[in-house]
Amino acid sequence: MKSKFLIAAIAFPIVGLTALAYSKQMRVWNGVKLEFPIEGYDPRDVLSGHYLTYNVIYGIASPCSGFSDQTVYMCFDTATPNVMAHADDCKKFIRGTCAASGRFSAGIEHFYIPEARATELDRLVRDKKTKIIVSVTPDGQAQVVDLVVNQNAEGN
Amino acid sequence: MVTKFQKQLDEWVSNGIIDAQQAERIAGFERSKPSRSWVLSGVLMVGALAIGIGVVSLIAANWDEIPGMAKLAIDFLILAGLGCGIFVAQKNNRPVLFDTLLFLYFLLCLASIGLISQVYHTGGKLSHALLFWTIITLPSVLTARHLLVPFLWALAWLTSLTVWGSEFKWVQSTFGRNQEMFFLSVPFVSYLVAIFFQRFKIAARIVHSLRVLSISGVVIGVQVAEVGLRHSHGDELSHGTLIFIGLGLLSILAVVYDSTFRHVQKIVVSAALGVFLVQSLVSNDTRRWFELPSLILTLCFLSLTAVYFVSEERRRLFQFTLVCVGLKLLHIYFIAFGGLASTGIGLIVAGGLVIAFAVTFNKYNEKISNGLQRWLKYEK
Repeated sequence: MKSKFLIAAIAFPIVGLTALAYSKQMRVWNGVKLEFPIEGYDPRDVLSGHYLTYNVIYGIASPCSGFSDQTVYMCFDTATPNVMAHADDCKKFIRGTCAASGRFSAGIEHFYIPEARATELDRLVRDKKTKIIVSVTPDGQAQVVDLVVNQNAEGN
Repeated sequence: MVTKFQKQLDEWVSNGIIDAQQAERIAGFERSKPSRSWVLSGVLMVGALAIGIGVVSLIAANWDEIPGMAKLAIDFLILAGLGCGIFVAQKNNRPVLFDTLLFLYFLLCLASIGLISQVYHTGGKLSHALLFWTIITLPSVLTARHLLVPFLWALAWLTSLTVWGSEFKWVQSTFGRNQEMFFLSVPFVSYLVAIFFQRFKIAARIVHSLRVLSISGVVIGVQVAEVGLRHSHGDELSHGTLIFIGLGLLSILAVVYDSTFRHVQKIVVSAALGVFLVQSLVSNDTRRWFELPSLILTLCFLSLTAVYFVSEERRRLFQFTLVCVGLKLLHIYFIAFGGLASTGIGLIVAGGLVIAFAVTFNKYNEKISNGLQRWLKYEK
């Protein structure tokens, strides 16, 4: 087996994983920070440990009203957020999906939490005493940065 | 300790097949080859698996004290260290160490995807993570010398592709109410992909793994088609069913031109695939009187599978398949003579048949197997 091929074969996963982590970190560094209150529940992900799954409170009663099973854009240019099919006229927006069930999701509905504090944080989320800090890039991709509980940050 | 190989040599010498000097030369030649203890390999693999599971468990516990970037840095350092170990093992011609480290590296790549998901709080589907894992690890899997890593890779790749494919709206609308046809098509796809790689003489171990998975898929599919589809949803011929038939026929054609099969094997395997196709289509009909023909088709499939295993000289698989044939005959008997089976007489007859089958099988299985082998070799 040629050494060069072996080196390339071993390096390839590391490069791929680095690129994946880098792309996510760039969203954190370059995005605009927004805060949203949350409410939710806690299932377990065997692969990635304990995490909270919650609903983000954007300030709209039914964000997916009139949309189903499609990509949409939640615009924050005005005081009340507005969901649109296109983001051409909006400067600050989050890109998400309206499922057939009517739920809006933007990939920010999970937060990984310390196992030792799972019960406590779960209760705080259910009592609506928590917020998430999200970093949003110019193209609308959102990345969770931190979970805030009564002004104390929980993230890494 | 006298090994099995040495006992075999002693038997040949005592029967005059080879003389003592030849036996000594053969034994000396075998001893001179680089040793590759399968016991050691197995134990090292178990150790490596335990480490891999341990790492995943640690991730699942969520290291609160260590910052996310530090976790990633440690993870990449471990990966790089393992990579160096793999390179050194290959340079120093240490095959067991090479295989073990490669297996560990393979598992840790999946653990790393989980760690990134945790650090950046991203959810996502397991199928997507598996697909990404198989893409980034493909080059390293090609370097594997043992079949375990390529087999796991092929299994993960097929599973993730199948689950990912089933989520497409096009697949859901094309297969309509016959979604099972999509999953029953997977063994055909696996075989066709294997043929494609085989044609270009690349990834031999992955090709072998895909072929094994396609055989396993067809065997499971026949049982699923016999039992599960009987309760499915009507008998319209959807586009998905047509795609299933098309893939099946393409696979049969590929078998005919597959150079790894001997002439008789091509006939046997093509016939078995044909039976699987018909079985799946017949089972879509929910009318009860199709139950017996469906069972008979399964019996035909099992019999063809048994002949195939004989041609491959897989004695244990042949014997196992023959047992399945016997059980299927009993099943057919109960279906055909359901009234009798519910009575004591029926049970006595069934018990007698089982004993007769077991005795006959025990007495003649070697003769049947040897006879079939001779016939298959003659037809070569």
